[in-house]
Amino acid sequence: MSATGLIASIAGWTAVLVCAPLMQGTTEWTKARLAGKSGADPFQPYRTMYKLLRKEALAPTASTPLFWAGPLFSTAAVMLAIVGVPMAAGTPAAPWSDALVIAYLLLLSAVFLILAGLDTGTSFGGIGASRESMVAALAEPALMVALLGLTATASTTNVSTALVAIGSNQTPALSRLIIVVALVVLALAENARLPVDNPTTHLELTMIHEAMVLEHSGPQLALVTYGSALKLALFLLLIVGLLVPPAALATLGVGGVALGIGLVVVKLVVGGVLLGIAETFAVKIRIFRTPDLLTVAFVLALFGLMVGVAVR
Amino acid sequence: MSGLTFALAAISALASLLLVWEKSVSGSAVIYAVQAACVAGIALAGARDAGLLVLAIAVVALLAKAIVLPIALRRTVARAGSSIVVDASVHTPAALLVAFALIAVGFLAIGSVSAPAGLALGETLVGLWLVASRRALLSQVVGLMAAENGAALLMVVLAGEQGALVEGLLLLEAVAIPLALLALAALVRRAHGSADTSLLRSLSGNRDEG
Repeated sequence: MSATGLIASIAGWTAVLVCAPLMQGTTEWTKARLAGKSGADPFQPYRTMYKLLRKEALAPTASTPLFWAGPLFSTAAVMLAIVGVPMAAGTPAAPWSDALVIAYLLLLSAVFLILAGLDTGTSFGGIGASRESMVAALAEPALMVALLGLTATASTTNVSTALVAIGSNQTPALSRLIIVVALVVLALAENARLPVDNPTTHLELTMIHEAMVLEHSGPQLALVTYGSALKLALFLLLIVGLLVPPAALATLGVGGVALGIGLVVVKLVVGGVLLGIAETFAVKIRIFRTPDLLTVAFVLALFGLMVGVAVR
Repeated sequence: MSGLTFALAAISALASLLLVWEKSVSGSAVIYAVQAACVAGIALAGARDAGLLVLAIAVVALLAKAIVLPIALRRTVARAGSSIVVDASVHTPAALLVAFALIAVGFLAIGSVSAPAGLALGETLVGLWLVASRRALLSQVVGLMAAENGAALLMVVLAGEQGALVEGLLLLEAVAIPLALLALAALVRRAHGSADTSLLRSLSGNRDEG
């Protein structure tokens, strides 16, 4: 493992951890601009999180320490998953850079939030937690199959090796495109975005994620918001990695490392703008139609996996 | 197997899965057009060296199946006054999983002989599954058309070109039967006020319930 490669990886992960809220801010800014409003600037999520971190944290009387631990462990699980994604070809990733481990870390993150939501003892927390668990139960198998489709053609479950295989055109383009479509649907569902969930609504009949975290406040809410931004950034990195195979930037030295950081920021900003455009034109589907959409994602992932294996 | 043939066969099979998901007949017509264009594209590529007449038949097949039939389907729906047909007798997620299982069965059965043929067999089975799982006549016609696309693809990738007479008759069958069925569906709807086969009771002699 070269020292430059390690530095490139650490710099890339740090860029994602620092810039992930920027993607959310860019999405909201794009939506506001498309709706004809001036909107808050893309850095607003940082100010919101700073404000929340200084506020007092309150907890429902019926809650247990699980309520406090939920957001913390949920965000930590997503951070671990991000460190498992290589930032460029040839750069090291964490030893747990495995499709199954990443899928399970994302599920673990959702489970901690669900438990914290249930622990509030309120009806809203329970409703949100049950809805979130329904989405997670349907989305996680599809995510696992999509990640296996990404890695199967390289005869490994290691994401780092699979991305190198994609770079050397060992994975068929058609299979990759089908899996990308499945991953986009899953990213929207897993991150509580339209058309599965409306992140800006607080209507009791339609809330999923927001109902679950309604009782959280102060630093806990800041952690939940940050965790959501990280999860969205993780999906974006995987999708972009499938579409544009990562280049071996670490071999370029310090310039390559700087370029890698710049590319991460560009990916997050462009991803935020595209998500904002998509959400402006999307409408939320009824919660009972969500299984239809997630089954389509599951079947697409299976089909992509089948096509990839058949061509290999 | 050329890469293009496999890619077109895979898109065609994917379209058959989307047909199971799509509930609007108008939307199904667009998906069917894409599926038919992929199948006709494979036939067209194979007909390049088979003589001018066979090539002409392949071009006509492309135009008829990818343009004329979808337009006829959409016009029939427009005349019926509604484009949304929520008529599946099987829950959509279950129907989708069954459809993928059928494609996998087709692929496992003859995919080792030819991967596009495996997908084509699966596509045929999904078309028949659509016929079995839908209640509205128009949706069932779409299923039959999708099954015919699968059968045509299977013939093209396994048997190759069959000569102008056979190809011409197959094209006639592929276009005439769906058009006749669409006309029949329109007649049934006009006569009974519905083209939902589960609501039709006249054939069993109970006109009051129809």
